[in-house]
Amino acid sequence: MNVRRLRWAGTATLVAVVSGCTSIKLHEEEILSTEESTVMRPHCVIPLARNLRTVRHAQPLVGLFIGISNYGIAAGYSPTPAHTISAALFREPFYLTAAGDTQKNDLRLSSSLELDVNAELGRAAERTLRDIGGMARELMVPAGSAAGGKVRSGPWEYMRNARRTTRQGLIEELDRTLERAEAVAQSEGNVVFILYISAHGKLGADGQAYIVPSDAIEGDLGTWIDQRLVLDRMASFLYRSRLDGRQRKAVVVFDICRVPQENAAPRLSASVARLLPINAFVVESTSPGSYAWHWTMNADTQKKVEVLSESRFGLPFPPPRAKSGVIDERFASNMSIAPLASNCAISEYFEPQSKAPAASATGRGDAEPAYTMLVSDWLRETQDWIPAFARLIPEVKETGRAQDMHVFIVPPMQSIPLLKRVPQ
Amino acid sequence: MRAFGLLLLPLLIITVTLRAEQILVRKSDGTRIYVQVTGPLAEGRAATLARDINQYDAASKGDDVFAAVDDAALRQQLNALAKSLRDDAADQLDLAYRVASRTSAGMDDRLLAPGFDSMRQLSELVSRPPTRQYVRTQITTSIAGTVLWFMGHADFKNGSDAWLGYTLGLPMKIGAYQFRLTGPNGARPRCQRVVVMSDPMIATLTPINCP
Repeated sequence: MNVRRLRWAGTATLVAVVSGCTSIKLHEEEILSTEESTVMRPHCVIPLARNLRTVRHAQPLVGLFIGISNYGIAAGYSPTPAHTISAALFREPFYLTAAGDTQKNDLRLSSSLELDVNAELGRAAERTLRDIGGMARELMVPAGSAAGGKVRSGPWEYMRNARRTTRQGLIEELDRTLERAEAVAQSEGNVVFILYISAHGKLGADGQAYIVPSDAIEGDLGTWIDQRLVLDRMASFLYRSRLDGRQRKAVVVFDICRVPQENAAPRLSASVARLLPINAFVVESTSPGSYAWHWTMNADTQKKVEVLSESRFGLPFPPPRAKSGVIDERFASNMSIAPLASNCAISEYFEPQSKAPAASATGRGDAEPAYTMLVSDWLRETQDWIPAFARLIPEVKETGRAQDMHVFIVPPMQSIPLLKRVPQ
Repeated sequence: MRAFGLLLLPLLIITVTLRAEQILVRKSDGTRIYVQVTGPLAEGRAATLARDINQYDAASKGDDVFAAVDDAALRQQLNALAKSLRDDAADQLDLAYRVASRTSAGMDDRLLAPGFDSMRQLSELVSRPPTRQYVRTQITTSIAGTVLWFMGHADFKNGSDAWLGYTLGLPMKIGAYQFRLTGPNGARPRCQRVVVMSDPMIATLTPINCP
């Protein structure tokens, strides 16, 4: 045996072990109690369920709520739970007011979120998501494969019904949901389709606005999603009403930043006017060149931990002891202010103490019954709430860049009932 | 001995690799900014700005870059301005990262631009410092019918509203100032930061809406 080679191999092995594993800590702990208090949670967002107990859909609703949280390295963006949280929040009032599983299932959430619940960001996002109506059953620790076929071992959580947020996956999901909306229109005679997208956005070199999907490649327009493609799909769906007389309406919400160019692209109004018939509302949560700001929701937790056993080894020093006793933690998770504004608009509209709102001025002649929220009411109230949230974000004042939501309505304005209060 | 060296080498490589992935910049209040060199939040210009700031810090550490200036009062003023410009650059870098984490925008180059301006002005200040504390100024604006006001930039950041009226030709002490333009018909005031250091100081303001 070559002693010299053995010596080298032994040294190399020792180096590999030491450099790859300079500390080991094994411990077993028991959490004796946990107490949570929340701060910075807008009152009108939680509790939403209480205000909506006697509220239902005013007509059939089908929705697709997209939160693109995971991005590949080639996209040039960090993964962010904020977009999935935003989509879940935007869906929440419609989910809570759905009567039965069929209506709930027609409100689809599209996200391929991955959460490392060992990391503070993952724990905070998971905690926030579980608090949102309809989300507790959406999260899981996987036993099999998640969307995309990738599963990591360890404390990772995924969306139970995760759907790919790749370019192709999103287009297919949009088409599938529109097919479902069409089926509802055929069976019920009318339907309102709600599409919400929370994602990174970019202005392309062609001056058009794009959505950045999970598998986007930075600088390659062919891997992004042109917002006009989305509007084109909506138009094909809506135009069928001219042929068969069934009422199809749509609300499309782009909750997407469009930086860095200021005023380099017009708002979507030109595309909207050209592509969409009546019965459509298109919402941009922010202006070209401005930001879709994120709100930070904090939750403080105090837990009492007892360490039952502990073993520590490390080179040159062992790792620090595991914490025991009373431990205070603060979790912070971000979400777009547009869904917060929407939830507050709906929550306050249906507050039990509020007087019955007057019939909305539609210019169309027929007065709507009281306690019905029209789409126009919803969007107008949401618009009013956006600055209220933006004002409380410190960076808004520092940058001088507020957020103004814009609603395109293809004239004439339609009186479209959205939610209604029913007798108890 | 050889084995001991081999033992240390991987640790050294790991340490150097970790250090290369991010650059540490300190703000004036001691806050640390970790600028990503690799990864999704890595933005080449942010890393460049961070390196510029650190290069200046290294060059000025322990040495007075204005040591050749005889006038002690002028030297003090120059050092104060240099620190102000350096700190402004770091503040802008910090703001860019905070906005990136607060929005769906990623790193916005527009927020880094003022930081680069500050470092460029700092470089000019060090290479060609003014020779007196007070310089002549000719600060104008292309916007008709406006009145110019100013205050120290540090006071503005602290929320002061003690504006002073500016008249063309006013001698001003070298330093960083915030200018404010008020126009007719109740138009929204406009603001611009101006660094007074050349003699004469000639500038035409193109301000934006005040925050």
